[in-house]
Amino acid sequence: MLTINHLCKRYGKFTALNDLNLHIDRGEVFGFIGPNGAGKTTTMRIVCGLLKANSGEVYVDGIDALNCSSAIKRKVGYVPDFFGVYDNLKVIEYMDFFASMYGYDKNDIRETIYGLLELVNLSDKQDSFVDGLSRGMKQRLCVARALIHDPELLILDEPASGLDPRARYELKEILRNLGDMGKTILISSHILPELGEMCTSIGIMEKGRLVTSGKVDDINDKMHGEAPIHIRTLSDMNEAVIILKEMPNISDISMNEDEIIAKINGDDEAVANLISNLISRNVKLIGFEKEQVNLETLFLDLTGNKEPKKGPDDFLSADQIMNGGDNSGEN
Amino acid sequence: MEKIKSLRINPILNKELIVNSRSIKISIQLALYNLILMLIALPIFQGIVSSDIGRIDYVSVMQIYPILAAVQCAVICLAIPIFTASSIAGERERQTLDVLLTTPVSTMSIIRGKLLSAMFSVLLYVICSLPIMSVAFIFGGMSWLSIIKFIILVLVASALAGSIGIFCSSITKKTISSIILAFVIIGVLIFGSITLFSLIIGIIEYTTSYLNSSKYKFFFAPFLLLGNPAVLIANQVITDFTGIGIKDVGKEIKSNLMPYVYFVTQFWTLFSIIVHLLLTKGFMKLAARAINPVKGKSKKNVLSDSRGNANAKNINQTNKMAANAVNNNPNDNNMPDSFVNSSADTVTDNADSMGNDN
Ligand SMILES: Nc1ncnc2c1ncn2[C@@H]1O[C@H](COP(=O)(O)OP(=O)(O)OP(=O)(O)O)[C@@H](O)[C@H]1O
Ligand SMILES: [Mg+2]
Repeated sequence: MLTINHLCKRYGKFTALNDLNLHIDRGEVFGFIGPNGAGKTTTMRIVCGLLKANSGEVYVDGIDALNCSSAIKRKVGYVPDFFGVYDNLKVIEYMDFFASMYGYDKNDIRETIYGLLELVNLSDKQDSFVDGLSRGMKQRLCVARALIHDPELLILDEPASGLDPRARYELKEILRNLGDMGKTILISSHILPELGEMCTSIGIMEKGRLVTSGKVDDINDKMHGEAPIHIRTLSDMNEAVIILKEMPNISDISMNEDEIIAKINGDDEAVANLISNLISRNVKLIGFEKEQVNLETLFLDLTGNKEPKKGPDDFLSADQIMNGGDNSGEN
Repeated sequence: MEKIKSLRINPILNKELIVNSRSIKISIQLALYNLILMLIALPIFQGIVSSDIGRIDYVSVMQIYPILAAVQCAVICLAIPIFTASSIAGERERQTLDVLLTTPVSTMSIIRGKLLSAMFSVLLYVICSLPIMSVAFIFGGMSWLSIIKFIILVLVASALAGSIGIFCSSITKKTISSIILAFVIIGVLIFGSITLFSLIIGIIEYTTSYLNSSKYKFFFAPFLLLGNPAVLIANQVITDFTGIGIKDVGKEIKSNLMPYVYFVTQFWTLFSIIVHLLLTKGFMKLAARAINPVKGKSKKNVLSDSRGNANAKNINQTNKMAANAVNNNPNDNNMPDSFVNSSADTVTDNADSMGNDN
């Protein structure tokens, strides 16, 4: 549905998009995550024809978006991150106005407009002035507006920012409905856990590149597989570390005051084997758990933004402990 | 489908009309405008009536017409840049322009809608002033035809002023700079052309007195005034008022005029209207280009990787030329981007169509 190949965009000397590649299948809800300034908005604006790319290709439904942007405009609905509304215009007139911008006759499209207002829960507001709506309502109105021409691809730039939890929930419901209706949705956000619930796929962007992307389920699996295990034991921790080090599929062993943290390379079978192995070697296990990793951790991990979540600086690697911790200052 | 669409009322115009009809601003402006006209007309009327016992001097009544016409034109010339300043800049400030640009409506239609809505306001002004104007017209013995002509000319002039205002609005970020720029351009158009005209005539007169050939004294200089809205309207008003206009002056000095120039003076209003409309169209095009995100800005990147055919070299070359054309003007700070770039754009556009033909 949306394919981006080798997209580059420079603002003057600053490179905002650097060889971006992305593919979104029809019917997917794709979450676009990245720190501020990663280039999410830039990408979206290029796809919508609001910005010119320096090089690269963008195809929407097989149509070259960079060279025939007029054909694209009927296929794409865009909800910008910041948007204004007109003074002195009523909700229903606002919708009529955009319907006429797409060449629809006011009377033919009335039912559709009512349907859309219903969808975004603004039916009772149709005679209110748009500048009098709350931010969340404006946001929803903007979504309804972007859907007026029944686009195949809906692009939402940080739709959840500035919304209260309830409005956020409602928006999420709307998007879920749209996803069920078979629309392809590209959505950017900072709110990772929510994206995880809403999206079928996720792409993580940083410095104008797509760092990683994939299906949410796959990413969850992957993260689950890579999550470190926390081991607590009554017996001497150093002994346990030595035992762990002998095992082939254990890596990244470190320890703090009362736990050993290690990564295990393998599925649940490997975990079960590890436990029985430790017990058979007389390690007195009192705690063994797999760390709950969420998207947030993955995000911080992948974008290299190592914000101390559990104070990793307190951790000393097992090697340092074994060596008496004399080179700990180097970290 | 396209045809049916173009027959319908421009959606932007439609929206602006709804919004304007709710805004109290326009009523206040109209009231102020009529107040100004009245304040100017009233003393003249009073002078007429009290000048002599019971006798009304019709010639003095007629004087009111050129004065009111001048005031009307001045107010409209001042008001239009203010009307139109926010047309695009306001959409930018409110961040609604982006959304308009994601719809299939062309940038030219957006500009057209904005211009039509500005002209609609002018029409309101003119209609509101009709009562006062018609007193001057009718008592002055002017025909309805003159009134209609006058209104048409005011609309033509306001189309030009409006397109300039919208163009300025499309290249500036703030409404206030748009207003100032529009005043500057309109000022250059009105006073600059007259100054240049006088200058050329002066120079020709000075040099020909030595050469002792008075023929073709005016050269092409009168053409400079074809795009001057003040001359257009003043000519009409003066012709109505005194019975003498550019046409008659042209006949008188025919021996001094080149044949083409003479021909143009005989159909001055018609030619002037054509020039006005062409200028209007030009400014609208520039404005449409300025707000078009995909065409207006960067030129270096027209050549995308996808176009690897034989024309690529060609396009590349034209692009370089275009880039040079832009680079030659680096100190032209006052000139808005699109001015500098418009030639470059045309070049690349041609290159584009060349590329697409294959
Ligand atoms: N008009 C512009 N001129 C110059 N630089 C720009 C412009 N717009 C964006 N940038 C730069 O491009 C980079 C990417 O910006 P973009 O808005 O795409 O980021 P983003 O991922 O949407 O960030 P955020 O999460 O804050 O919305 C930023 O570093 C920004 O400084
Ligand atoms: Mg952004």
